[in-house]
Amino acid sequence: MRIETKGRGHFARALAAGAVLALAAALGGAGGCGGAKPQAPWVDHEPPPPDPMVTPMAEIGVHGGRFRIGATTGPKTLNPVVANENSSNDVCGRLYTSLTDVDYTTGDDVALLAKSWEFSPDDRTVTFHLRHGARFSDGHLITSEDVKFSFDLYLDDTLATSVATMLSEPDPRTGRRVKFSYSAPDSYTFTVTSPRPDALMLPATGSVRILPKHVLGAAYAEGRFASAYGIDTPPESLVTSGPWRLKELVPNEKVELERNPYWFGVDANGSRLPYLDAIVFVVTKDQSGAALKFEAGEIDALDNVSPADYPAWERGQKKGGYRLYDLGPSYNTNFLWFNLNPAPPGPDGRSPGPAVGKVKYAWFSKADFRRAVSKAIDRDALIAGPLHGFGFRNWSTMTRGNAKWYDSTIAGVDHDPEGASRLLAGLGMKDRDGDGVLEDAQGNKVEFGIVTNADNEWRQQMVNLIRDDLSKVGIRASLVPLEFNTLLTRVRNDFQYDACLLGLGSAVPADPGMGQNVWKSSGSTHYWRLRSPKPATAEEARVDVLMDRLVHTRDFAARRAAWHEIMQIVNDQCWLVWLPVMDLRLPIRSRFGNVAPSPMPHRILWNSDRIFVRPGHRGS
Amino acid sequence: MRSYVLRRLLQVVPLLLGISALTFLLLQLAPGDFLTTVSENPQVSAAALEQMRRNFGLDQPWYVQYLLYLKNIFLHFDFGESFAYHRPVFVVLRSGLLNTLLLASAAMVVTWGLAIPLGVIAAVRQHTPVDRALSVGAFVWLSLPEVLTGLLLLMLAARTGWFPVGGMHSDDASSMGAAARALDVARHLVLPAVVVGLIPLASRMRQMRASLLDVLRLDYVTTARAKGLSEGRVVVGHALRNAMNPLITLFGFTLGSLVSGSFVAETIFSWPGLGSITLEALRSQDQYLVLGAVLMASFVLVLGNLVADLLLAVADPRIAHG
Amino acid sequence: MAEPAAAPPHSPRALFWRRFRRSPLAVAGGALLIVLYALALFAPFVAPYAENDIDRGRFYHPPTLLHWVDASGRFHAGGFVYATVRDPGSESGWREDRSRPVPLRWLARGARWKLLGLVPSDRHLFGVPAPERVFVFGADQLGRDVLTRALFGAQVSLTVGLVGIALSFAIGLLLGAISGYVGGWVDEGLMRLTELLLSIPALYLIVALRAVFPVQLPSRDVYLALVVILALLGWAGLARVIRGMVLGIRQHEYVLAAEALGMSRTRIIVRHILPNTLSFVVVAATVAVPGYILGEVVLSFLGMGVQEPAASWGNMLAQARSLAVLRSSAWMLYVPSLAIFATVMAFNLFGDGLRDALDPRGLTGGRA
Repeated sequence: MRIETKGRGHFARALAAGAVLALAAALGGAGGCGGAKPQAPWVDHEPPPPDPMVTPMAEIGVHGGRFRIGATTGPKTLNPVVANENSSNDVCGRLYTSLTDVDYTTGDDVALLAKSWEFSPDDRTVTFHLRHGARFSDGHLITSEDVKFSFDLYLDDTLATSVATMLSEPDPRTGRRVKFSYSAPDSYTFTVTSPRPDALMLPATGSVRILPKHVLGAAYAEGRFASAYGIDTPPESLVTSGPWRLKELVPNEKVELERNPYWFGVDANGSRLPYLDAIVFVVTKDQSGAALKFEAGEIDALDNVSPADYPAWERGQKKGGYRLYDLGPSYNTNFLWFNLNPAPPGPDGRSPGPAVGKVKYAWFSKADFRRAVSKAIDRDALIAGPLHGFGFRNWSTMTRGNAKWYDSTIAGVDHDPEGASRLLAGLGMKDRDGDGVLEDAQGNKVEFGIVTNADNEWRQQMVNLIRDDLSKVGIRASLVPLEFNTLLTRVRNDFQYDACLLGLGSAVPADPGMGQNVWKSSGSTHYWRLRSPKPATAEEARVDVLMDRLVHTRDFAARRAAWHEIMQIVNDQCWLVWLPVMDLRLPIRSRFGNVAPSPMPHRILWNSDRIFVRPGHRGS
Repeated sequence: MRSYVLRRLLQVVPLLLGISALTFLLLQLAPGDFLTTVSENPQVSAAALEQMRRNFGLDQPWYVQYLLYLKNIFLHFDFGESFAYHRPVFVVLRSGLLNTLLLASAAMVVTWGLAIPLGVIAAVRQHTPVDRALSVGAFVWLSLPEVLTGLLLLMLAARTGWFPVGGMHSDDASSMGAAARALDVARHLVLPAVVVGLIPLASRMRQMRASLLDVLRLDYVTTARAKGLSEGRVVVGHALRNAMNPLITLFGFTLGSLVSGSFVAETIFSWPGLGSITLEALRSQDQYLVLGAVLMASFVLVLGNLVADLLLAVADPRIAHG
Repeated sequence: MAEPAAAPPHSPRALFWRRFRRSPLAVAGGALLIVLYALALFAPFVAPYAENDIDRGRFYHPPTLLHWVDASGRFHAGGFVYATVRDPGSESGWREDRSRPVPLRWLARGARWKLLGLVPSDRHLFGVPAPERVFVFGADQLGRDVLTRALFGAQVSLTVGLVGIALSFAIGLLLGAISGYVGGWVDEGLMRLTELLLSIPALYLIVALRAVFPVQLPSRDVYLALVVILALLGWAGLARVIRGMVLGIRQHEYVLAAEALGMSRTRIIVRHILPNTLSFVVVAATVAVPGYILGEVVLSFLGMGVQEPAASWGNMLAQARSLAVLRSSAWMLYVPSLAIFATVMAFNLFGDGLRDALDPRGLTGGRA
């Protein structure tokens, strides 16, 4: 049966398909630099700010250009008071200003909305003098009324913010938190008083983002504040106080910020900042997708680059038109700890004993055991392997990159397998049956599980190597990857785990006082013995006293001394077994000036108001 | 006929109710809740967490939460708020759903745009090398993991510049005119639609082929040939139209399954669809958002099935009355 | 195998084989499957190393090429590889040291293992004496041999499908048959349940179920949990189709006769009804297995699949998705991809051939 090749309708269909494909190819080819229209030179339409803030910067720039940066997810809200995740905070940090800021190189406090301040003689009250004539993005004047309103929001019990913790103190007698008091004596003065002197007073007050009372006051009064400034708020209604205001938010795709024409920051020549016309956060869910976008020129900076890629990024700098910045050691730390928590109380209100059981508790509670584990770990291999050679030894939350707080004299318990074996033998642990695994004095095999979060590839590699290290001294550890929420439930609520490998991110500022909850025995992130009603050992009691001193004096020398002693105790006790930190490197396009990435968040955009496009590079 | 339609539509409500109950149950069974991740921040005090728990209603027992949820739906048509976004659930999901539907539709165009002509060719060239080659070729795409094909195509886009590297719009799309913007979306749509659309090609092509073969055996086709009509007219003019009938129902099913099945492609190509919002919500246990997303996706699936069955009933009235 | 020149064979089984053999692709697919499963069964023997054999000095080591004639012109009968030294200037970071050929040992001694958990041995198909290594497909981020990981991963990935369909088909067959035969409330209830399960997008259901499962499981047990989850989803579709078929079979005379004779319902279902669904079920099963294998890949992509330190093709693929790997260690990506591709392709071709041989007219439903 002979059959003709194509019928009429068939041919037409094929033609149509071919046309579609050809069209697609044509569109693809016609792509390239999206619509580069020549920009009109920038003109400041507003009168210059009466009380400008001369912003320090490496070089004077020119106005114009856009900066596109990749973000793993889009912001969930633009309301800084209720925002709880990095994606939202990254954007909010550009939109709103506060009383003071932190200098990213020295760690000191710098003026922002408050042009000056002084402390009372008893160090408990700080008086801020606000800039005159600072305006919101709709032109409305910013006064102390707005500052007071913002403080009201952050300290509101029904909104339950994390900043409220920093703006309150537990009363030593009742244990209940007492909020700082604050007042606005006149339109440009604002005072805040704490019950005791607080070293972190300015970072605490600086965490309050200034919001417009004339826009949000009504919503707050009516109890609708939490849903204000959400992802569907029209940009014209989203009034901001910072260098940027919202231009467009496309959910899950991008957030575009444009220059706030009323921003009070200027450069040394008196030109109003920011230089850039717009910042665009481009949502790229996938790290490899983001890297490809960067290569293709669709975004201008990358964060969270894997050390495995550093050599390739290094090689491609010239051709790709970017520079790979070396930020030094990350502020994000990694460590391992043992679960010393008591099991949650039973129906009679009392705890039945240690959560890991008496046998394991007998090992974990001995400092020598923890020291032995720390000695068993080969940190060089951890740097060479998961970190591909781009890592540093670290013995504290204040890593080497932290110029203000890094203390090189703090010692840690480093790799020493013979020392580890000696310590374990000293605890009565011997391999009596010759199977390579030690048994304790009662004959129990020394084995336990290490939990970590399953979605972190890197941490799993580390646990894998640590397991291997521990097997060389006769301890059999197993890797237990858990889903992150499950992991947190274990670690914070039901304590059903043996040991855990996690890390802490960097706070802003990177000050040890920000980690009170980790070091104080009553702290909610004092992982190895969460929320102890009283310190369990003499060393823990000593750390509590020192931490108190660290937080409640403003004398930097005294604080450093206290921190030094705290870390010596912590490291001697090996409550945390420290692991190496990563060497941070980020690629950013060369055509941008004043780019000064920092290990503190936001790594690239912390000085977004100063970044500019070098002349001669306009367009793509 | 009308009663059949009505009956099917009414069945949707208890189905969705059942889905919401099952999803809610699964969410409760998983350890922790939305505040577990929030509590990871060392700055958040226990009192603040407690207050947040009260705000979100998470301090109530699960059945109370579920009943309140249902009450809000039936009385106020309020599907709850997302804990993370602080906005009504459908406000958050709206754009994601539309974007995923767009991708699913484009993928369907790719699938059927290829399945129909290729199925016809395979049928008329039954058992020849062409037939077998088409089969094998379609199987190849089906057998490659989507993770790999998506990544390779993305790399192709980056290296050649023919297509944008993921996303749905160029970053300056808002300054384009409406026509330019539509073209921009089309350019971004090509690669993900290809990745997703070529996967079901094998089975759709086979179904087209089988269906056409069945029709070609029928008497009226032999009659048409005997009348002297060219083979092309016989196949395309007469047989094809009838062969497509059984396949109409598949349109509905395909669309429904593509809505959630395109997740991998959406992630690799950063397509702002429903999948990633939902998965993130699932992970953070943002329960009302999850419920809203699952109900939405299920509704589309069910609607697709319903439309398919209705079309079938129109084509074959016995079903409605049987 | 000569066919009789006279009358063609009549038995259904012989007919089936004849039709099946007509398609060389299907036969090839079947043969490939047998090879793959054999490799998985004997993975510890074929693999030169143990599953989690970390080599700290050889992270991301490139493949060691096999040679027969060395630099000095000598011929090594069993083949050899060169020892390697670090070379920061080269693309991969390593280069061959031509002065040190390391002969391959066949049936070499190595890590201990047990066949089916019972029979111990320490022989491996091939290996090289320590401290040198033979990496046929290179090493991964922890210096583990990719070939070894792929072979052990085969054990997971290839059995996920089999165990999964065994479970889901058992449930689906039984419930579908009962539903179709018994009718009434049972039928209504079961069909509503399947509709419910089929209406929730599969991915969300999988993720939700995965979060529910108990947590402190060793890596291999997570795999079991996965299989159970995938099976709990898979039975619904099959149940509906079986039910439809049973509704038809129920009317046949021999069933009516059995009922009249007073045979119990269970016996009727098991002895008469189910065997008639067999051809469809066999084909559906073969075609469903790839779905399980690819499902495990997607779950690993989401970070919810088989966890370290156990190997599965899905988690090997997920780990290999970084740009660094694509640029310089592409073997880490291509080996699991090729393995998955070969397996799924083989199942598809084999299933296709089965379908054509068992049911060439597509009478028992063709929807995949």
